[in-house]
Amino acid sequence: MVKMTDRLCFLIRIISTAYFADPFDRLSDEVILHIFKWLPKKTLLACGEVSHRFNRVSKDETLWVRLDLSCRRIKTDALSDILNRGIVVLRMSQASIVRADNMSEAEFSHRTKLQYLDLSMCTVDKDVLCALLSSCRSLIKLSLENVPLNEQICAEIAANPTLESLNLTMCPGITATAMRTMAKGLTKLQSLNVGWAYLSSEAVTELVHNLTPHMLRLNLAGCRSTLANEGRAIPI
Amino acid sequence: MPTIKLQSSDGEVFDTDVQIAKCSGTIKTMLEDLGMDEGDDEVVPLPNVNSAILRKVLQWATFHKDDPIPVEDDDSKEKRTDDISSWDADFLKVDQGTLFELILAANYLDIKGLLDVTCKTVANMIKGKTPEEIRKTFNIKNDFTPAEEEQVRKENEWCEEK
Repeated sequence: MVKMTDRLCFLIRIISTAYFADPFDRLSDEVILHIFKWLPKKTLLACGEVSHRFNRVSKDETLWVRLDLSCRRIKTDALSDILNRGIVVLRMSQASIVRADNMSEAEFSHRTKLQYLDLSMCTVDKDVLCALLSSCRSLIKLSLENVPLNEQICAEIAANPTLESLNLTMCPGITATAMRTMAKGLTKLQSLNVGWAYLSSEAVTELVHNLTPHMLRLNLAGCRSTLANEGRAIPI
Repeated sequence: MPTIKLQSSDGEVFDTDVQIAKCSGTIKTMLEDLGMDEGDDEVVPLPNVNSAILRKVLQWATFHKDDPIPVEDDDSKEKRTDDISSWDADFLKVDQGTLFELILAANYLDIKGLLDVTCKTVANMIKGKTPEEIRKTFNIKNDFTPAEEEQVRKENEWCEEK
């Protein structure tokens, strides 16, 4: 009788370990990553709230290469946190970036890994945009379509010598100085769109004189009234 | 057809078609490194896989033996989990324990196709669930203090906006 009870207890223990154990305990982080890579970002965040281990694995850089925040409203501190996860490709078209409540100045302390950044028609203050771009030094493709710029912002753009494609369609605020800084700094630029960007004839002249020979596509639509003969003479 | 003998952790020997056994990267390397030739009577020990799981793995490998060699993952593509074939879906209608055993075996034996489809199946069990639902589904212990939990929840708030 005693023996029977012992055996029963033993069986129950085996069965309960099998049924009630956390199956992830047996998997390595690498295999858990293999599972997490199939999850959409929202579920990935939910996973981060499950346990310490899930939290750690869910923040792995390989899971955060690309992120789409289009049409969202996001605070600067949250954006800074997200960028620290190592995002390389970020879509934020028509998003709004708002200043965090507790911050007078927007800060993006770490250098980001961003290479592809789409801020088309994004709503963002100039100083916030400037701070964001100052954390980017390895951009390859950037779109700021319809976002107001200033010389400081353009200087931050120009500090990405790797930039190959730049879309500044309909961007107000590109002065002659800004144009010169960008044309001189962006030596690898292959595609530039400044269509309907309200360029002055001085700005067009600066562009034409400092243009990199790598340029393959240049869009100056809407600049006809300010295009000097000299500008038209450069065959692209 | 040349065969080799695979031995599970509990000692059962499986006479297996070499071509099928070689869909495991681990076995393929073993055979090549050890210079084991087809027709040899040697037994390949697989101490990390029991017979029940090895039987399932071989069943999967037999069905998929003519599949094209899986290519490396393309990061630029959106990851899909709704492309599991109906045969695989039926094959993976197993209890959670077996599913995780299959993941372990696929990882150990280096069978990319099986690892992908088993991991996708688990991903589908996680998808769309709240943290509490995920814990319940897999009996995961919540080891956060209330303060830590609040902190993590706050970090994630950005996702809920707008």
